[in-house]
Amino acid sequence: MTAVRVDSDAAADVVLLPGRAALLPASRTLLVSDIHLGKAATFRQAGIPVPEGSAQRDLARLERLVVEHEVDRLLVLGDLFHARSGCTRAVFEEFATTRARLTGTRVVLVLGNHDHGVGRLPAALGIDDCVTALDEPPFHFVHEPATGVAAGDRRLFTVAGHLHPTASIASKSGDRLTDRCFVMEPGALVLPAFGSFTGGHRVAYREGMRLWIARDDGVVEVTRLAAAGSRR
Amino acid sequence: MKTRPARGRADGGPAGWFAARGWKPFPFQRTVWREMARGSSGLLHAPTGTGKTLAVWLGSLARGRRLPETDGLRVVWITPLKALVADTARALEEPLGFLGRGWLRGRWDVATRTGDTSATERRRLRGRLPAALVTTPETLSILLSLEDAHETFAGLQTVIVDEWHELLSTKRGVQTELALARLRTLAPGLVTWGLSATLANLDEAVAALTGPAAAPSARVVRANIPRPLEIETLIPRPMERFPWAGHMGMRLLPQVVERIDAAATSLVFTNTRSQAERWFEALAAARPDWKGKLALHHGSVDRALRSAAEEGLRRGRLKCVVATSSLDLGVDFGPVEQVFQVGSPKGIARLLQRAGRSGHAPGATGRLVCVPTHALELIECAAARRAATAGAVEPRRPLTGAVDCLAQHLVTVACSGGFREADLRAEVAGTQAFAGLDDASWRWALDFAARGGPALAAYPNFARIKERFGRWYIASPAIARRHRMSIGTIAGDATVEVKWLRGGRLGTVEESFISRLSPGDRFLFAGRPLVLFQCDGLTAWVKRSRGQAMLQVPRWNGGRMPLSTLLSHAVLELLQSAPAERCGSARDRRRGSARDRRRGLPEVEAVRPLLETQARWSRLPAEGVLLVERLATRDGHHAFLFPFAGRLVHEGLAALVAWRLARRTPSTFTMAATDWGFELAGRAPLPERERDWRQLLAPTHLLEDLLACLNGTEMARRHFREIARVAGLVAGGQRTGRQTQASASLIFDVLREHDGDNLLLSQARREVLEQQFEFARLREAVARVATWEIRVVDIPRLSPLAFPLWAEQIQSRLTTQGWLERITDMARELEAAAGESAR
Repeated sequence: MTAVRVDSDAAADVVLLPGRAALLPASRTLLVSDIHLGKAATFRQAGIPVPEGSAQRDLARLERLVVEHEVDRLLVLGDLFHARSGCTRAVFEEFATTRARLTGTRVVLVLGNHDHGVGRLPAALGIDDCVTALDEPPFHFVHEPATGVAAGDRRLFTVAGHLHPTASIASKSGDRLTDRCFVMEPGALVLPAFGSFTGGHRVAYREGMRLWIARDDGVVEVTRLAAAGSRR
Repeated sequence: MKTRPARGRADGGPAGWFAARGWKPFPFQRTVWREMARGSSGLLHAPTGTGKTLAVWLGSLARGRRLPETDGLRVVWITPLKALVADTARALEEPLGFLGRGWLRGRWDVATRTGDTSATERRRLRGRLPAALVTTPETLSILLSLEDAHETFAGLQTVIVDEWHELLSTKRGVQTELALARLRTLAPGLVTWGLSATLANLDEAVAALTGPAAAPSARVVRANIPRPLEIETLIPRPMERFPWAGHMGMRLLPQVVERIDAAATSLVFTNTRSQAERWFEALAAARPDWKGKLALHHGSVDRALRSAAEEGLRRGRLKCVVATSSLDLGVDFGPVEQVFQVGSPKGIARLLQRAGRSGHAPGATGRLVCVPTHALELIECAAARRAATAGAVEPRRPLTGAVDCLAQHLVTVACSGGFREADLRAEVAGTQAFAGLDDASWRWALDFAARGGPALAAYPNFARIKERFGRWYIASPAIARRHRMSIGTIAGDATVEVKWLRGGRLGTVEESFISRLSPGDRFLFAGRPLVLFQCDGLTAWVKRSRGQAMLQVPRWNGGRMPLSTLLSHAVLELLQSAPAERCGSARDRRRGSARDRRRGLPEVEAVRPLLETQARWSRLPAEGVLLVERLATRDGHHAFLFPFAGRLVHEGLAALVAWRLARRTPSTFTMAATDWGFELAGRAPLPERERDWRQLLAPTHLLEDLLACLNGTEMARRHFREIARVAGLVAGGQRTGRQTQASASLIFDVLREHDGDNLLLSQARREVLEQQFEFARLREAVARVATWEIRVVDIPRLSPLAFPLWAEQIQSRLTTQGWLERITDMARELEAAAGESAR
């Protein structure tokens, strides 16, 4: 399954990868968002019996992407961890172990609303930098896309997460499919949630929007199908 | 003559109370009093409005007189609906004043407790227990989970389950069975009585009520009180313009208005809440002069508004109330003269239940008028009317093997001071629901309650219940609190509260409906045109909307029951008696009509032209012949099959056939089902030969294929929602933290991936088979169809029978294609359509 190269209207390429991640070839950066590690553990803390498993698999997927694309930097666009009560030693250790194997890659976290709830992250995790937002013209990296607009800098192209977007497409003969997606609007790109144990919010199609269904094994543009669906 | 003081005492008792009101007890009431005083358990089976409540209540009091005087809780009265609690308590309080003057033993008072009871009131109740408590199954479970449950229920003498037939075949029934078993342990010698109306399988109902061991000694008391009933069907005039499909039936509005006008008070029952909304709106628009005399009553309308409607009915202030099953049960409304049933009643028991809501004035006759919503429903109405007159009624089967309920119950008991495994195992095995519970399932349920099942073995810190010195206890007070919150929300989906912007509540709607609306969108709810102002979290703020155009009506989940087996047979029989060969000549037609009139079936007579069209374009279905209609349209290829086995069985059959087709070539099918048949649609032509259809419907490997096809559909995942909530995997209600909210389908995926042996998953699959598809009925249908002849007909256009299926919304999809293939197909289809419109 091949990747999709997107002209981000900011004179720099973004490559949408299978596995719900994106690549910035110019800065050799891998972008992911909303991993929500420790979510299952949060549930267990509250007495709800949910097995782990998804977290280990997500970390393994992340590692494979970093290795495969030989990136210099991994940029997490927020919500790396789910909640304070789920950040058990085991959850932190799993992350730290994976992180330690990624020698030669810087790990930068743009803090998301969930990360704020977790509090101070231990240095042992191996996160090189924590920022609230990051401006690297032509890009503006942030967790919640709205803050990019509020910042008022229309010259930058916002890349964000937070929304956990999903797209729903349907055909006249009755087939219908809902899945996580990338959403691009003029001036902004929102990444799908990377974590497997995360919910989604349906994106209502608007004129000028582009959508790509994002799966572990592929990325496919569905803008026309979504547009046709919104007209019905 | 000497007066005897002993007689004075008798006059102060139940018979005296009856006499004081100018009544005379029915023989069945005396039987119940005697049996209860003696300490027998049992089931009282009588039509609504004949005094069941008084029979068992006075029986409970009579039993109290025979036992040592106590001050604590003596009677628990379980009722299925929160809305009935207050009315019931009032009815129970009524005789206490009279009987308290000498006949009663000890102090007797009545209190209520439900999920709506305030914290202050709850504290007060716990401080000083009433003699009798009226409550719901959920609240009873909560009471059983409290630490003082042992003391609370130790002196219990009698437990009554009202409207037992309503609970019987539901999970709440299983919950009730477990609670009853618990009560019998806490209060040995407890007497259990159930009240039921219209039910065919009384033996099973008793076994579920008292437990199979005690059932042989339980008494079944039947009241033989004839209640005169008149049932008729509104025939559309003119019939030609009556639609072939649809759910609203508005065409008959003028005739309904006419009849409502002629009577003092009417009830209009619909099968769904959306229908109720539409009918209420239409009636209000048709007769503006009835403003203030019309009311709407359904489960999503706010409680205060519903109570106002009930009060208005009781006092005869209302002309008409439009209601759903929310008014099926409960205290009778004397002034109601007639009942309308909009849409097919779908079952004979339901028809009788609803008809019984009218004619309670002395000497009055119950009157029910069926209002068909489309042409074919006329036949269902005729069949139901005929079967009801003949005295037939459907059974309701109790559920078994619901491990989700069991897991919940184990945590409940652990909360209230813990349990010994062997003791609780024996107690649970004493219920009908878990009489056949095997070791493996018990151990799994215990393990799931304790550690979340085998998949969580790697997390020793996780525990809901813990074993100490041979007893299981709740792991922490926080988990107990959370568990109690989740008990109360067995039923009910994610809902959003609808509130006026200027204050005041209107009720609740499904979140899925509101999430499709944007601010400014208009919709109909609680009988009012509304405009959505904004939605924040779990509240939808609305304003009144001006103008009626473009109003959406929420579609609530559930509510549509399938045509019962009994009624399906009756329908097919009627169809058969309107034979195709008679349709030829005018003389034959006249002869057929004359016969229907003679047999008193005006419905069939009215629908005869339509059946003739069906016979001309295709053929009429009959016992022994399976009709398969094929049609190609611009949207794809369709096949319509008519096994007459009820909507749920048809859903299962559609999935089965689609799966067997898609197994040969990867493809995607959409499916729709009604009570008469089902439709399959796909991009490629469907089989033409009879032999192919016979193979697709073959009984061999039925179970394996059905289980396999569940993976290709969303059904198991959808069904898992309820199971997950009961088992405590998904937090119900609105009071949980945002950090632990996840959709049931997400958890379903996680479990399927990492805990494939989780019994809750297999329960979801089994429940889809048994409840969703009515597996036993499906198997019978497949066996029956295997002996039938199959006729494949290519129809030139949608036939009268195919039309309702085509008009039905697509209910499910089955696919064996990969996601990419599906998107490619969808895109190709879009391109083709665009190319066509460009030309």
